[in-house]
Amino acid sequence: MVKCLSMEDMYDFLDGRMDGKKITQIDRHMQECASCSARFEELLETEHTISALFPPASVDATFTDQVMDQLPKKKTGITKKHHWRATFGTVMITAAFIFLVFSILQKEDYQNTSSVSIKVKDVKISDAFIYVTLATSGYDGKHLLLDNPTDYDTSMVFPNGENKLSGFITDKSQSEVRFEFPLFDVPDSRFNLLFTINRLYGIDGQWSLQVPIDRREMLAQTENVTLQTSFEKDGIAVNFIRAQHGPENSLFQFETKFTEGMATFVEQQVTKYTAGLPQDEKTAFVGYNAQILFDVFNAEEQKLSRSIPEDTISIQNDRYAHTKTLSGYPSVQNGGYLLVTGAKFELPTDVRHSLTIDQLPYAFTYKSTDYEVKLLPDRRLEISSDAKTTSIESWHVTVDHKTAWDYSEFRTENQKQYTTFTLEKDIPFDSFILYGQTELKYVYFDKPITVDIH
Amino acid sequence: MNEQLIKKILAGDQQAFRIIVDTYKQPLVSYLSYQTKDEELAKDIAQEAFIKCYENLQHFKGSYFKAWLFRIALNQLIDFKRKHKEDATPLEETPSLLTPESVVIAKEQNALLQQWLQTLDDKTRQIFALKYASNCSYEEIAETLSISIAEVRNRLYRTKIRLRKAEEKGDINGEMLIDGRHV
Repeated sequence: MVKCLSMEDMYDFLDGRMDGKKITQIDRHMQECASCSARFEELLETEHTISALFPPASVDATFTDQVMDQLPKKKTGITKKHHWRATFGTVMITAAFIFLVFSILQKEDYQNTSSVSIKVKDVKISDAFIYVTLATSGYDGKHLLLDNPTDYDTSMVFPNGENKLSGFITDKSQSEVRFEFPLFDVPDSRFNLLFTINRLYGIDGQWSLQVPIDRREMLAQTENVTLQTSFEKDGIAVNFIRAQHGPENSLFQFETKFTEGMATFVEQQVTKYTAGLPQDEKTAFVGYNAQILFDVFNAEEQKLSRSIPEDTISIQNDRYAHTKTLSGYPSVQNGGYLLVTGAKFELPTDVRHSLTIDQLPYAFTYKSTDYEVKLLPDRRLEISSDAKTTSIESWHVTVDHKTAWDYSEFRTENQKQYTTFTLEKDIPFDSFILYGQTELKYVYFDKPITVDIH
Repeated sequence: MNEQLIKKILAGDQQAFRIIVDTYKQPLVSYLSYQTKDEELAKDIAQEAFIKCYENLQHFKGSYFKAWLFRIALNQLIDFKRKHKEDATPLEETPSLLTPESVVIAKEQNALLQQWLQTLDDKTRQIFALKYASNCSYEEIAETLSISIAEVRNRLYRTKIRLRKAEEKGDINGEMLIDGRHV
C-alpha cells in the first residue's frame, strides 16, 4: 500500500497537476485509506468555500454585441450612426447561373445628396462553392470598396434559423466584389446567404442583402462517399474520411497525424533540444506536423492537377499538430484513384545560435548547407540558404527569451531561400538567439498506397 | 482551436472574433469584477480589452491566449486607475485596503474569508482571483502575472495550508491574518 498522502500531493491531485501514473496510484490509495479520503473531502470543501468567494459575473449576449459593434472604431465617443436605410431585395435563385438579385439602397443622409447603391450582380453555384458578385454604382470618390474586414459580415442562414459564418472575398475592384462560400460541409440544399455591410466607401450605415440559394439540382448530381482507407506507415498515420464527386470537382477530406512511435520520437527530440532552456524559450518548440505526398489519377490513368487550393486545418496538440486536409481536383466521377507516395515531416531541430549584433554577418553550416545571417536596414534580420538543399523550414528569433520579431517574410529568389524577420520596435537588439524551428524531412514509401475513392 | 480562429480573424473574418468574446467574456468580467468591485466598470474595461485584443491580434505569438488577453485587461485596468487617480501605483504594489488590525472578526464564514482574502498580499490575491474567478490554469496565471509556475503553485499551496490550519484551530484571527500577508 502506498504511504499516506502529503498535503502537497493532495493539492496537486486536486488541481490535476500530476501525471497519469501517479493519479492512478493516489486514486487507489484514496479508496483504501479512510483517513486520506476524509482529508481529501475536507480539502474539497475548502475549495468550494474559496470558489464561493469569487461569484461568477453574469455577462449576457449584449456584451458581445457591444464589443462587436465597437471593433472597427476607436474607443471614444461611440454612437452608432444610422444615416442609411437599407431595403431588402430578394429573388429566388433556382439554377446555377442566374444573375439577377438586387437590392437598392436609399440614402437618408441630410448632408450628401448623391446616392450610392449596391446590388447582387452575379450568383454562381458550383458543387464546391457558391460565388456571389456584388456591384455598386453612384460612387466616384477615393474610398475603396469594403476595404476593411470589419466593414462587412457574410453568413449562411439555414431554414432552422441557424446562422453560420461563412464566405470570404476572393476578388475586388473599385465597384465590384466577389465572395466565395465553401459548400463541402453544407448538407442543406436550400438556405440564404446574408451580407451585412456596415461601412461602404467609408460611410457608416447598415445594409443587408439576402440571396436565397437553391442547390437541389447540383446536389442531385453530387455523390458523397465515405472512404474506408486508413493506414500507418513510416511515422505517419492517415485516415481518409470522405470524398465528394460533383459535376465539376472531386473533393477529398483526410486527416493526418504522427504515429504513436513518431510522436514519442518528436517529444523525445524536443525534450533533448530544450533541456536547460528557460520556459519562455521552450514555447517555440511546438507545432510539428506531417503531411502525405499524393497524386490523384482519373480512370484514364491521367495525373490530375488540383482544381481548388488545398485547405488545411491544423488542430494543435502539445507538441505536434493533427491536420485535416480538404483537397480539390477535377471531377473523378467514375474510376480513378488516389496514390500516396510518401510523407513530408516538419520536425524539431537543435539548430540554435546565440549571437551578438557585432558577429553579423554570420555564417554556419548545417547538414552540408551553408546559412548566412545578415542585418538589413529598418531592423530586419535575414537568413539565407541554398533553396535546393536547405532543410530548415522556419526560424525563430528571441531576445531575453522573448519573441523578438513582429512578422516574417519568406521568398525564393535565384535558387536561394530567404527568411526576413522584421524585428519588434522596442526591443534592444544587441544579442539574440536564432533558432531553426522546424526541419523538413521527406520520406518516400517503398511501395505507394492506393486509395479507393469510390 | 484558438490558433485557427486567430488565423481566420486575421484573414478578415471579423465575426469569428465573436467566438473569442463569447469564450472569454465571463471569466474576464468575473476577474475584473473582483478587481474593481464594480461589475459595470468591469464590463467596460473588459470591452476595451477585447477591442485592444482585436486591434493587436497580429502581435499575439504566445502559447496562452487567455493569459495574453488577461494581461491586456490588467493593463487597461491599471490605465483606468491611473486616469482616475484612484490609485497611481501598479497593481502589484497596491496595498490591501484592510490591514489585519482593522479586520473585525465576522461571524459568517464567507464574510470572514472575504476579509481574510483582503489581507493577503496583492499578488497572491490575484492568483486566487485568476484561479477561482476565471478558472485559469497555472500556466495562464504565470503568464498573466509574469511569474513562474512554481511561484503560482507555492503561493496557492502555502496560502491554502495556512487557511486550513486556521480553520482547524477554529480561529481565523488577527495572528493568522498577519501570517497570511507574508505568504
